[in-house]
Amino acid sequence: MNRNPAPVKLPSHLLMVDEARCTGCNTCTVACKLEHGWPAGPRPIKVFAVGPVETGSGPAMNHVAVFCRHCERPACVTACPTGAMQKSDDGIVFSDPDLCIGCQTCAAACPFGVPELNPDAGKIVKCDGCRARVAQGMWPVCVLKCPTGSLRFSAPDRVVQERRTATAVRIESARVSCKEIQ
Amino acid sequence: MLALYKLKRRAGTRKAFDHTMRTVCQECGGGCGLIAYLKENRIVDIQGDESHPISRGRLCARGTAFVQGIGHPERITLPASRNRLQGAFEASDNWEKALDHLAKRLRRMQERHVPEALMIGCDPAAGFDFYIGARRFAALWKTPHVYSPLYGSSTGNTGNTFFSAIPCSDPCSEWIDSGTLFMINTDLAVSHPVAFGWALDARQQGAKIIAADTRFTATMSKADRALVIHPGTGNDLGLMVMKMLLAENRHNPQAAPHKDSPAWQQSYADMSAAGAESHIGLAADEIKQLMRFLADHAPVTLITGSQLALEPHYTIWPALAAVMGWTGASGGGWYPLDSAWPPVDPAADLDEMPTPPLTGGPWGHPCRADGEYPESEVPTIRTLIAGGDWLGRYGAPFGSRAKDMDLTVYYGRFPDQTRSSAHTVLPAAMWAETDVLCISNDGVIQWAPRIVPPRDACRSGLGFWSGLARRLGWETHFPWETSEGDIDRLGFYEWMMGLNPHTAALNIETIVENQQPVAWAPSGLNGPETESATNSAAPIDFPAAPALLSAGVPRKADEAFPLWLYTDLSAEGGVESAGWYPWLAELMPDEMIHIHPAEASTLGIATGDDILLTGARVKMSGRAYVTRTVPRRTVWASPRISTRIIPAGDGQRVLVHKSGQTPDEARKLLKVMAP
Repeated sequence: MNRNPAPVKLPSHLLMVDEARCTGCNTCTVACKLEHGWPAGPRPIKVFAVGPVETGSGPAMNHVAVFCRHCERPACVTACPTGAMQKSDDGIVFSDPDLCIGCQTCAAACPFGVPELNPDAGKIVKCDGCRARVAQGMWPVCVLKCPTGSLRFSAPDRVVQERRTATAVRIESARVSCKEIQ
Repeated sequence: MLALYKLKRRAGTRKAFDHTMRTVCQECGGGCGLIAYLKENRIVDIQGDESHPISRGRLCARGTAFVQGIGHPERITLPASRNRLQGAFEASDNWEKALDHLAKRLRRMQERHVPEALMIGCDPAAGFDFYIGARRFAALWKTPHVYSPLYGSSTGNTGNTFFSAIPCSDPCSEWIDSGTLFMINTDLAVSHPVAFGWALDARQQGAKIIAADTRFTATMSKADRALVIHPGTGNDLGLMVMKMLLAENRHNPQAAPHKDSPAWQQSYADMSAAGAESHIGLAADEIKQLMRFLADHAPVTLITGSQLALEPHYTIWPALAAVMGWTGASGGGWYPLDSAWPPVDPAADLDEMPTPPLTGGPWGHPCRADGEYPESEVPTIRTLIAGGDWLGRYGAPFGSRAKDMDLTVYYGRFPDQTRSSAHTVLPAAMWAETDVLCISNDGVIQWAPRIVPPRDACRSGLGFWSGLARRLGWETHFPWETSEGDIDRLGFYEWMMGLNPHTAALNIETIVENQQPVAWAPSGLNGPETESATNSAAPIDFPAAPALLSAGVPRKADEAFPLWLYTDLSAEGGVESAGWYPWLAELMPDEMIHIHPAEASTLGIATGDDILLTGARVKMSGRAYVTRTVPRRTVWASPRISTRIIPAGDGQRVLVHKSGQTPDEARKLLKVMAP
């Protein structure tokens, strides 16, 4: 008996949200709907304004985007009774509309509550990582249109590297302004 | 400094298309470049223009969702008319016949009433060409009543006269060189998300963001300092900062325009600041700290919301930028949102007009209740021509009178409130269906060709006025109609550019050909002339400080109505239509009355409760939303529920209570609660 688990499908690309730059403008959602032809109603990316909460130095508010994480072991894929929900070789979790019966079992299984029913088609709507675009070498539309550059998309190590560099720049500029104040 | 290699953007469409159109989005005044992909003349995709210097390939939700407006099933695409407001509309498929009919009705009005009985209201969504045409048409008709919340009202110049004098507007791409971005009464992150992206880039490079607004907005959540001020006091905050800067000698004595003007400086020393703290809602120390911060973190870009242009002392902002020497420095100056039009007088060649009796009055100004004006001063309007949803959004004080009009004409796109008050309906083309010369916030002009032809019988605003003018015998003053219904838009814009000395120097053919933003403001933006313009010998005539700062309503305690009601109404173009795009409509916040947790818990109000709101002149009900976006002792209602009931932008004294609770019980509870 083979005791090794099935090899994990690693993502070739990573989508990351820099919450420090997200303003909750919802461009990502609208861009996604134009790309896929989805109606008002389901929200493949949903940005929540958390707050304002009272802090010692006045109110504070954050914008938190909730979207598909394309999990390594996706609960939605396991739960789907028809095999419509799948994980592709490049790590993308997507729903095949030809197989989807709109039962929403995936929606109940997802820990983030991401899959939603498209009431017009009776099928599940969720982020498919813009597979068709990425296959042609293009960025997903949400990343491309994001007005503040809050969304990033690239190979995992490249995305992480960029965040690291940005952090270094931030620390350095904070140091410079500290000196100015002194 | 570390080098930050940005990820390479990979743009394009996966959809099948047969041609593309490169144009400029006109949902707001930001001026973002977009590429429409079309197949068999239908839009299949919209992407940002990667090569565009303002938007860098980015777009916002509005710049994508507008496609839903073009083919919207409820869109008005045919003319219609009825004799009585209670009657049903009779549609026709012929624009020319509809205009014949309208001209006949207008001529009857002309015979029956004085010219001043015609009023034209312009929603910015009707287009700049509608407004310019309206100004000319009104001059020929001899009525002074043309009102727009964005372009200015009535007679004289349209546009920002200070642009003629000093280079105010650096492109937002230069914010990266700013020390501070000071945003006043604008939720830039929401109204102009793409421009806000530049602000965040600047912040990453060490610039500070300070935001002053009446509520805690998305912009404020990203700011290094957030100042909550009372409504209608933004310009007064500017006056106070100026007073303190001059008092501490922090201004740049070499900077134009006031190096030789001690009297002007003295006016600020003389300005009484009594009551300023309670008027603005900030302690004097806080304003002083703000002033010192700005002086220490130059260059500063002052980014002002369009609402400020409608309030007194707006000129404080270009004055502040000039006196501090920020103007002309890269990353410094004044960036007025949605009012970056070159000053033009579209009726200068026509006979002199009578001065309107209500200069700055309620019709162009979305912030005044008609109750504030004596009945006798309100003109007797018998005919109203409205572009866009003017009655629903800006002419609110006029709303109740709309039903008494002899004739109301609606030129618009959707079955909105103005259309329901109209006798005659003419279908308007959308911006994506007309060639437009865009004037953007960056102080640039760009040519925006149409993406698709207008639907059915829809026409442009200029087409509307040209057609009417021809029927009334004024075709020589509207020479842009080449044949029946065909408009020489290029010729029209060339004429318009000729009305201003700066734009007159530009060549429209080149602008059309290059499709690149061209700076029209004096001395360019980065050009060698900038310095000479800033240090020009001729001082700019900024108005002196007022004698008294807080000319507004004194914020006295009021036991009967202990809370303040705020609302705000943004006049940015396109917002009106956004409610008709399903993808945007679902994003709009619920129509709720916002209340601070402190007052809510005292009154026992939870989110979702039905509450009643009463004031001396206000009565409304709605569901409560308990949130800290509103300051203490304040309730806020979205303009969508409040414009028809209260004057937008004005603070008003009110009382809030739950249904089932008497007003006196609520008063008692609020009276004993800690301040």
